[in-house]
Amino acid sequence: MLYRLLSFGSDFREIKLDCERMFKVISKMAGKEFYLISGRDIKQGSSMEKFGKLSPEYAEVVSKLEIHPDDLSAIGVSDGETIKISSAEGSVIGVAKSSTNVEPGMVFIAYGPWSSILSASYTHGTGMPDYKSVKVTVEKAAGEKVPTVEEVVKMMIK
Amino acid sequence: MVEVHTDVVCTFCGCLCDDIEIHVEDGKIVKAVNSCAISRAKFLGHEGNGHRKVKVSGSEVSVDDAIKKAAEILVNAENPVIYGLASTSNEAIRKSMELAEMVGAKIDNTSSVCHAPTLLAMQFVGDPKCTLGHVRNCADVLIFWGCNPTQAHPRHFDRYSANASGYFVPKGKDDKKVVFIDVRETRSTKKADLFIKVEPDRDVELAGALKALLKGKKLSKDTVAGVKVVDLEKLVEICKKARFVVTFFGLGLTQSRGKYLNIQAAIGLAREFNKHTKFHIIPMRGHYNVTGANAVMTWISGFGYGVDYSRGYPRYSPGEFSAVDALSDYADAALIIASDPVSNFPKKAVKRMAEMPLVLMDPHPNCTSLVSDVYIPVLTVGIETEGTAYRMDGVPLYARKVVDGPAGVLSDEEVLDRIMEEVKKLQG
Repeated sequence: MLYRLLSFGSDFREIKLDCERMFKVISKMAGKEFYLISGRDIKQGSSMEKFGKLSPEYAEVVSKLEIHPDDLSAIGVSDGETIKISSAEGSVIGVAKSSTNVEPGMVFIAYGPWSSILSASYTHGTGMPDYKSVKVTVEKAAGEKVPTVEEVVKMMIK
Repeated sequence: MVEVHTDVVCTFCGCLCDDIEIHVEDGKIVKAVNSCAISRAKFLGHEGNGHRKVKVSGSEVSVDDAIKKAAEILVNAENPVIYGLASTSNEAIRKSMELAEMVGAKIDNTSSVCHAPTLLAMQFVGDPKCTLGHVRNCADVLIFWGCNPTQAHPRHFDRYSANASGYFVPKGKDDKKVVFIDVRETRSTKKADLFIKVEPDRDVELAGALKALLKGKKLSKDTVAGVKVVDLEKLVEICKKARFVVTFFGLGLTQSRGKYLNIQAAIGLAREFNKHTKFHIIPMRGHYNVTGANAVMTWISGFGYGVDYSRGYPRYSPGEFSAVDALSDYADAALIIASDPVSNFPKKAVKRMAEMPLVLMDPHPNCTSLVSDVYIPVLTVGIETEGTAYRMDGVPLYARKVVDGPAGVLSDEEVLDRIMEEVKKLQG
């Protein structure tokens, strides 16, 4: 907490007029909001080709949420535990994976139905939605069932 | 007896590796040599799990009945969308364009949610690519910006870039410097000689700082976009001493805030870099023929994605005719070809797709087939049927057939021809 207070001071000098960035810093300190980055994973590709997009093997890859261990401990979640991830568009249960490859404040997911349910459709006139840096919150959801691919699709269309 | 097919083209990612060796025994693929894990899974798993059945409204039907239903859906729609295309052949994409014109559809390909911002940027600043052969033989500095090749293009390092040896770089990785620019560490960044961790959504600032340093300006700050200026100065020095610098960039730039502005800034560096050394920049295209989809759409309509034929002539408007926008807002029917938008599109588009008449043509059932009214399985290009594809650098390669597909399953081209015959009958 002290580190966060000290870094807030140096952050504050840079973000005087940028209200959006101010919100992000405050949210990071409060441990409430994360950036969601989606991308590829080699197992996403191989499971999709070997077992198909509707398989539990594919679901296991694209429901995994890589989060920094400091963030996991701040929200009281263990590696491998189920968590609920939510955005302004929707929410879904995934599985936390502790990783120092992501920065604190960041969540990484292999793209698929789990990232799609969290994404907004506005494309800023380009055709491309905001798939990276989606604002999300993460909560404990220990013991909750991770949905199948078919169940996530049903959640999107209801 | 085992037949060995050499120089087979893999049809998964934009690397379009054409050195695959496929062993076939009794008409079945039993081994794939030189393949990455994804390619091996595709070749060995191409038959699927027995779910390649033609269906209308969930019931098995003949392919002729499904084709008739697909044609009815397209003819009866006021705002049909044809989408996908990046995982089929150029020959099939041409027919898709013909069908779009016949039914007055919007037609779009998967670059819409991948490298369309790159196309937009190139319309502003140009396209300074070179071939991957050029990269392999000449590049002594490689910059990977917002991409993760070990996960998305697994053989890229070995076949074309960081580890590949070539005419002017005979010692391979020992003759090269590899730089990574990304918001996080990945398995790919562990291969970097220099790793620049940039803050999310701040690549335009980083590019601006690099441009200033290349012009010999002194920056008034110690850090830009979360990166120490001394590291940027290191990168500039590495490049100035290089003979041939190639930058590969991916969805880290196209999908984050700024979109085409990020790419415009990155490509815009070419002019400055080329004052000091040879510099090229190449997009890491995801699907094996998304480059072909852009090329075919461009040479037929003049535009690479987001095209509309509702007035009988092609019009271009990203954000209006592009698939996510059309499907989220006003489209009332869709034909999805070689793609899975129900898996990868935002929720609003997926919800509307489930509510509208939807036709899917794809080798295997996927998330879109869960909600489609018509599912027509088709042959896999590069395994069960042949066709032309364009690699990420624009080089065309012909993907040959290696084995027969399941009995009764047609190619995309054959299905599209038959749909057009039915459309002509319905339109009178």
